Amino acid sequence: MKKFIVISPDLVWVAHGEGGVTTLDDLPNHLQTKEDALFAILPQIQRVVATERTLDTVMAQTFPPGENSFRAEPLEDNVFQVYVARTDLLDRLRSLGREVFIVPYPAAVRHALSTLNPEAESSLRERTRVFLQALTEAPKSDEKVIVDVLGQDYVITALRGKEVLAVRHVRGGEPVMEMQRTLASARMDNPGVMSRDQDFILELQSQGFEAELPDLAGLMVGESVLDKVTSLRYLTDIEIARERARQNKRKAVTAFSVGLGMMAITGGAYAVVHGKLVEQKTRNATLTRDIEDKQAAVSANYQERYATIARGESVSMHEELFDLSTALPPQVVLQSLERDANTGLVATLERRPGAAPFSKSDLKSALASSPYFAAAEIVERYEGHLVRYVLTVKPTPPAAAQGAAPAP
Amino acid sequence: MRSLYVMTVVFVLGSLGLGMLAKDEWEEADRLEARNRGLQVDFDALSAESGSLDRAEPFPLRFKEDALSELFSRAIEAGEVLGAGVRVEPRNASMGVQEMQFVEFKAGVQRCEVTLQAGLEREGAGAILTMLEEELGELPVSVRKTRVRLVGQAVSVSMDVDVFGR
Repeated sequence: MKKFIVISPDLVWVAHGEGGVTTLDDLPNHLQTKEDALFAILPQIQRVVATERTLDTVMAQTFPPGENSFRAEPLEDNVFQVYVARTDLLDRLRSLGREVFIVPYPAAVRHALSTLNPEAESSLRERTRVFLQALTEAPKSDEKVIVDVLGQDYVITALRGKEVLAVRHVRGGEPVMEMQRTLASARMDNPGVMSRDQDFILELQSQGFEAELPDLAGLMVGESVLDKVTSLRYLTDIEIARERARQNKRKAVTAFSVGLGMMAITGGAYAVVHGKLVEQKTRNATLTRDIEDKQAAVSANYQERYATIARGESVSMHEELFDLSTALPPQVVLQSLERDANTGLVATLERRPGAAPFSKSDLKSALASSPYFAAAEIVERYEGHLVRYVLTVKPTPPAAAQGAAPAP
Repeated sequence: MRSLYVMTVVFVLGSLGLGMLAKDEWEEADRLEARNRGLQVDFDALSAESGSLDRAEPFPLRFKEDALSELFSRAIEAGEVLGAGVRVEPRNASMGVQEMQFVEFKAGVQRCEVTLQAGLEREGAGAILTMLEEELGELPVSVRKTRVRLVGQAVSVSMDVDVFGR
C-alpha cells in the first residue's frame, strides 16, 4: 500500500519508499488505478460540544453538508474532536486508487507520540520511582507542538493531551515565529517541541525551547504510523450507511438480548414464586384435611371419654360434712358448709348462746385430728352478741386441672 | 431488524405481565404461609388435646335428653327415699331462664347448667348429700359447687351441676 501526506495541492509528501515531494496533479503518476493507497490530509480541526445524536446537526450549522465531510472522535462526555475535510478533495483522492484510505494527519501525529510514551510499559518498580520523583518535581506538561519541516514548508501540529488544538501549513517565513503564533492562538504555555529536523531542534534549543528529536522513522513525525489510524478514516456514503446499519443491528440485538434476559429472569422468578404458591396451597389443603380429621377424631374422643373427665372434676362434700359434724365441740354449731372447685372449702360455725367458755385455740385443738380441717384458716367474727368462726381450706391443685383425667 | 424490535417489545411486555402475576402470587403465597402457620398451631393444639383425652377411661356420653332425664329421675328418687323435696331447675332461673338449655361446650359435647336443691330436717343433711353425690357419681355430670346451709331446724342443700350430653 502506497502512502502519501497531502499538505496542499502543491505539496504532497510521498511517505513510502525513498520518500519525496510531489503535487496533487502529479499523484496519478505515482499510483496505478488498481492499487491501494493511504492518504493523510490536513483537516480543519474543531472542538464540538454535542451528543452523538446532535453532532450532525451541530456540524451542519458551521460546515454546509455536501461540501464537507467530517470524522469525529469523543474527547470527553459530549465533547468531540472533529476533523473536517473538503468533499471534493476526498472524491479526487478516492478516484486515484482501487481501495483508498484517507485519514487525518494530526491523528497520526498523536498516535506517533503515544508510541514514544514509556509509561505504558513501565514496571511497578519504575512507577513507584516516578511517583517519588513526582513529589519533588513539577508535573510535566501534556502540551506538545510538532513541527514537520519540508524544505521551506512547515506543518505545525499543536496537541494538549489527547486533543488536537491546531494544525497549520506554513509556507516560507521564519519557522520559530510561526510556531510562536501557533502557541499564542492555541493558548499554550511553554509546551515541549518535537521535530524530525535536527537543525531546527538545535536552533530551538539555542533559543531556550525544550525541544527534542523523536526516535521515529521518516521525515515527518506521523508518516510511520499512518496505517495505525485507519479507524479514523473518512468514510464513503456506502461505508457510512453500512456502519449505521451495523450500529442499528447492534442496538437491535442488544435490545433483544436485554428483553430476552428480562423475560428469562422474570420467567424464572415467576416459576419460583408459582412453585412456592403451589407448595403452600398443597400444604394448606393437607393441613385443612388433617385438621378436619383430627377435629372429627377429637369430637368422637370427647363423646367417648369426656364423661370421665367431667366426673373427675366433680367436687364432693359428704365426707367433710360428716367429719365436721363429729369433730366440732359442743360450744359451736355448723351453720353452713360450701365447696367450690375454685375457692375451696368454707365452713361457717356459730357459737351456741350460753355455752361454756370457748376460744379460737379450743376450736383449733378440736379440729387438729380432722383429716380435712386440721390445716384450715380460722377467722373469728363478732356480730352483736353472736360469735362466728369461718374455716377456709384452700383447694389443692387437682390432677384434672393439669390435664390428667382420673378414673371414675 | 423490525422483528427483533417487535420481539423485544413483546418480551418486555411479557416480562411486565409475568412480573405482575409473580407479585400477586407472591402475596397470595405469603398470606397462605401465614394461614398455614396458624393452621399448624391449631393442629398441634388438637393433637395435644387428643393425646390428653386418650389418657381418660372410656365412658360414652348419652344423648343430652337422656342425660337430663336420668339426672331428674335419680335426684327426685333420692329425695323421695329420704323424704326430702328435691328441685332441679336451670342455673340461671333467678335471671328468668325457664328451660333447660344445652349449649356447645366442646367438640361434640353439649352442656346444660342446672341447680339441684333439696330441703329436709337438719339431721338428714349428711344422708341426702351422700345419696345425691353417689347418684350423680354414676352420671356424666360435673358438680361445680355444693352448699349446705342450716335454716332453723331445717337444712338446705344446693348443688351447681353441669350435665353433659351429645
